[in-house]
Amino acid sequence: MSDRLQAVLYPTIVLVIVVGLWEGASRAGWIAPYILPAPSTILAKLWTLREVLLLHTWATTLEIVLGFLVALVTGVALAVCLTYVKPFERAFYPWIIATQAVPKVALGPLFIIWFGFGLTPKIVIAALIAFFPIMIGTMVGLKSIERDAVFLLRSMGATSLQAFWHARLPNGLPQIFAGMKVGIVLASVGAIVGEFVGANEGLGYVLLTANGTVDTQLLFAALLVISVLSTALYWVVHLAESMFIRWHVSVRDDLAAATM
Amino acid sequence: MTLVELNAISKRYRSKTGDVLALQDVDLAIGDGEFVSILGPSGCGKSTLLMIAGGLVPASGGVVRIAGQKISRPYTDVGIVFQRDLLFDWRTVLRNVLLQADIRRSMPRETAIERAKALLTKTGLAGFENHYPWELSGGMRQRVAICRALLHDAKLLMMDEPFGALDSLTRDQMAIDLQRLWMSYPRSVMFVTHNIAEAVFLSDRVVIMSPRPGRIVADITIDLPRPREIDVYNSTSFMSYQHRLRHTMEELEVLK
Repeated sequence: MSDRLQAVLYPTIVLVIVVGLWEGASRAGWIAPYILPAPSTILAKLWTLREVLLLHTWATTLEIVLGFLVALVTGVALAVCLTYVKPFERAFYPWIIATQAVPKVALGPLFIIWFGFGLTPKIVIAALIAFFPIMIGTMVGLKSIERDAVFLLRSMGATSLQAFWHARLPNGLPQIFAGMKVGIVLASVGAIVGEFVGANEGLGYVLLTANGTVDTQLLFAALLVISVLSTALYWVVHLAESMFIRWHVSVRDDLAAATM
Repeated sequence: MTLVELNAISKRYRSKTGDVLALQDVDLAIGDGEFVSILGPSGCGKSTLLMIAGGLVPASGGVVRIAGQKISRPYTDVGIVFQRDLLFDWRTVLRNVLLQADIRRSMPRETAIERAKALLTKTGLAGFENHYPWELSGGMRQRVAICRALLHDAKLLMMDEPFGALDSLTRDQMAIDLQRLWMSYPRSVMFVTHNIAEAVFLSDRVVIMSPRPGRIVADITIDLPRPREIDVYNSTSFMSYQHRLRHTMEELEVLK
């Protein structure tokens, strides 16, 4: 059997078995439906409420994507400053690390006071959680250039900007993307948590509502949508990675033959 | 005509166990178009000396002059080849060679491409222009690095143990190819190595450095006709040079 077929077939088999057992257990009445509703009823709920869920999904997607983009811009910009401006690093780096010790989720209520119930506080929380891995990844990436490579560039008369553009940045892209992959997942967490704190739309809001009415079917339906959404967003970043760093050992497939 | 002139160069490092004198009072002159090897054991400071000559590492004392100019910052009319090829994985072979032109912006794009292709052909890499570095063997990669160092036609070529990471067969081949290349693109070369045979085969002059503190303890002119072929390794004159260098190194307790 081909490797590719196995990669699809095996997880599918696991899925079918687990869902099948779950469905069977629910139908046999072994588990109360308000604890664990049958997958078929969850899907039915999903279908019935598709239009409403789609609207909430859109709201959450917007929060995640905007939060992630804010995190990407600030994370990379901060990393560049920290890498290039020594006094800046001295002054701010310890504080940036220290702020990471504060559970950002706990700041939710404060952001509600500052920014109201709209989109902004969710974006801020998502960005705040997601920027850290991106910043660290970028810093490591920009710094991990060999001394001799720097010498080589200097002997060519390269300016700092040229060294950044031709060597440090491309050399650091693998680490930047690693940070981005963690970042996009965390941004999803941040957006949902932001909605928990106070919202009138979004999948986190749907979860809370379902919780209030003990509508476990809706709860599971929302969870399913959240999982699909955050996986899809992860894949977008993954796809961008494989396009941008085709040359990197983690992406290219020249080793595939050797490991088989 | 002297191109590179090192005058009373010293280098002191601060380390945990106190100051280390890495180089002491090094005088060295390299003529225009001359191939000079700096031979010495690992850790004798020969690479540091090379980096000081290129203005990449500051000396603790002494003066470097290249083409009469005192060097206080990185000298740019130079091509450097390091032990690691330092090719960029995200650039093709051709574009790795062109990095030199991309940074310098000193020659028209077409000229640069034409010249890069000529160099690659000369080093047996024709047809590999659009390959990526990871698709190449160690020897081929280092050839690309050499092409990159020659692209802009600098007066000086610096090589820091360029064949140190290669197997010995590839190494011999690289020495032959480097000589051929150097004869088509003549210029001054400072070649750092710890390989005696390689130094004799390639050089007009070999200087021997002692271990810490690094000092130049011998300066031997290699008077063998060029082009030197692989057979030269078996000639009596080659062997006597080799013997002489080894003997000098033993005498100076560089080799014990």
